[in-house]
Amino acid sequence: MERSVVSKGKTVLEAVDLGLVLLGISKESANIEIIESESKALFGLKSKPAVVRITVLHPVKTEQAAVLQPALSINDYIEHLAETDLSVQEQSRIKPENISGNTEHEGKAWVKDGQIFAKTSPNNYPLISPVGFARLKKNGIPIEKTVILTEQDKIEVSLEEDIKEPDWRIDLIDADMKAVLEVKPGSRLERRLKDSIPSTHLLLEVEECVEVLQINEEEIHNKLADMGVTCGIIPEAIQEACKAKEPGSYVVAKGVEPVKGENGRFEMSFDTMARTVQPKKREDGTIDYREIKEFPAVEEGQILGFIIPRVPGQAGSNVKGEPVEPLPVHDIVWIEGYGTTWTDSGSQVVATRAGMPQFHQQGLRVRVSIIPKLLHRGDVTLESGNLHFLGDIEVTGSVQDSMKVESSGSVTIRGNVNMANVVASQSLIVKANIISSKITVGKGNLLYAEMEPLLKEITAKIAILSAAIEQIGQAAAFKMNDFKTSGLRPLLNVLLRGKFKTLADALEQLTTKIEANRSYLDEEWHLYGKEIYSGFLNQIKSHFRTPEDLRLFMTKTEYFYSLVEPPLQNHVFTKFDYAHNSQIYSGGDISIGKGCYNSMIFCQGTLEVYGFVKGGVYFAQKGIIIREAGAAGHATTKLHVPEQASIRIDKVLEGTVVQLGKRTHKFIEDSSRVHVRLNSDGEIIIR
Amino acid sequence: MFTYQLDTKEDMVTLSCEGDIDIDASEVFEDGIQPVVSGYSTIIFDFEQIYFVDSSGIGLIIKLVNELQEAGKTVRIERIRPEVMEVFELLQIDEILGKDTFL
Repeated sequence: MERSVVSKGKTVLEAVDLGLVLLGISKESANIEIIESESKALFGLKSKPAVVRITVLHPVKTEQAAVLQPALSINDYIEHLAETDLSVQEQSRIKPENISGNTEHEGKAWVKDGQIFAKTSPNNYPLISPVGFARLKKNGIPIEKTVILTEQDKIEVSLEEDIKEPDWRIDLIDADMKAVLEVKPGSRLERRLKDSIPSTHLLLEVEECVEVLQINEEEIHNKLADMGVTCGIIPEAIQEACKAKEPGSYVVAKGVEPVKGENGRFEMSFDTMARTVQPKKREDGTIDYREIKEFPAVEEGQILGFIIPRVPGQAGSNVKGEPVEPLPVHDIVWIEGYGTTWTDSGSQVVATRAGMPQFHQQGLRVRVSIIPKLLHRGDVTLESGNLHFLGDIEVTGSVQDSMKVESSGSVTIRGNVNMANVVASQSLIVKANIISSKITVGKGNLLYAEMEPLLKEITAKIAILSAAIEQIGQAAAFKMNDFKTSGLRPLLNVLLRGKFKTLADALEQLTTKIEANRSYLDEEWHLYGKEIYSGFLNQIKSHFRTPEDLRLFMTKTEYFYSLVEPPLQNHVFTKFDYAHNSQIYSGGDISIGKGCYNSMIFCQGTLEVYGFVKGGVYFAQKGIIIREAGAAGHATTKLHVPEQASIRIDKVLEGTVVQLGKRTHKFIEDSSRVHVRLNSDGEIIIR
Repeated sequence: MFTYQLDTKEDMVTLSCEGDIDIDASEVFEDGIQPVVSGYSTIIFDFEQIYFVDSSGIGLIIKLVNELQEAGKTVRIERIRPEVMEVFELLQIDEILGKDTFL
């Protein structure tokens, strides 16, 4: 078969060279026929190319052609440039595919399966231009501008790949109870040439394909082992994390949580024994004595309650296999109480005398006491004298003119209180009426309420004082050798006069209060008061020698603060039928069976009147509930509660004044079923 | 060791103090200084040479100055070294003696 091409060039020589390259033969094996010589452009006339026809004389062996190829590059169309060291990702040899027939490919280049193909035609060469996303080389020389392609050209396409390695880390959290694997999955962005239709000017296009790079599970396991994580590994979670396409965190190991234990408890048992007396136990463990008609009483030898020991928890383990101890649990500690004894094992408390049981629990400390009872038969008169008793008092008759009954426990009076004075540290029941008398109930509670802010202030200030002393000790010009001989006294003198003047005042007030109310307070309070005096208030010397002593005092103060800190075990109450022209203070609730005339009542709890109040001033911290209030044409009746409390009255008469916080309201006409309270704007609403 | 030198000028006396004001200085303070300065209406303490104090010493200063002030005298403490001033400030001595004392 005779092969021939017609080629064009600026000059005849060029056209011949091109023709030879296209045929892949040397001049020696070609028959060259010049069809037209080139003509130069002149006066605006277009230059004409030289045209030659070249015919192969002898069939050429392929090997020979291959050897010749490099020498036959078309120098006119390319510039020699320094070779760069490109990594060859893809190579494509222009294949002389479909050279015969299929004329639509002639003079065109195309991409198929990532390879570049080209076919020249007698009239033109396909062109290729450089692209941004890939480096192209033709026969080893980078393509920097548009070049022609022939079947013989060797085109190298270097496409860049973006690889983002997966990133991950493992953290141990919750005190080694959990191992959390945070993953940011990696990806590989692969680019390949897009197939294109044959065109005279080949524009390369690229296809991108993203592949998620998975994390090697093995690596995670190894890292966990390195970190000492041996327990509670969750292989499924690791698997999931390694395959994740989105960043995320996975708990890949989990320790075993310890099982919580239970603190010890004290359980009272005296409610099961006396059927007529069934005090209700509140949710917080205190007893609601208001639900009974009489104070409860127990007999000698009666079991009052028992201690339920703590239930220890079970240790768990963290992800490293180390044991994790549960929160410590504590047993109830009992404190010796009056009139009771504990069994040898310390599990049960027994009454050693008859009387009213009293139960105190503060934190884990429990004290059960029997309050002794003084039974006074008949009236309290000048003949019998005043009654003062450390315990409960019961008077079967009345308390008469100018007499005084004072008790550190509760008081029951079966008759009246007439122009007398009754003081009860706990509760008071008067079966009949209170007339022109002065009543003080729940003095202990009142005292606690008064001491609470003082102790709070002292606790806070002592902490600052300790810190200040430490700071002064560090001052360069401060010598501490007098601490040995005089302790902290000189320093405290200076501090309590200056910076800590308010602390000194609070300490002074507290000791005064403790001393004045000695009979209502336990011995421990008395000792504490003495310590305050000898530590701070005695100007001559102090038993505090080191800052450590001060810290011990602070701990003690915190304990006393915890005793008075609300919520108090407030089971103090006052109960009577009538009061007339009396002054009544109650540290707890007041329950009035029938009514009140012209009295002054101050109640720390709720005031409940099942009858009427006619005239007088009534304040209750937690609210007032009255069946009927006010009196026509009599002295004003004033009902007063703090702003957050409310007043309920079934029937209120004209002229009655209610006060909530600082707001007052006077009823100008009779009303019924009113519920007086403040709305969110602080305005009084009725009903 | 605490010592002082007196320098009098009309009804004003200046005590140039030297050493540490500590528990060992009590005798000098209580028996020495008080009688000597009581004849003057203005008393200046020069603390330039005072390097250390302790709590007893501060007590002595407060007591002496308070007594002199109660007797109607003008008392000033001058040229206090910064490290001693630090202690005074921590203890808020100026609150006790009055800020005028340190002007």
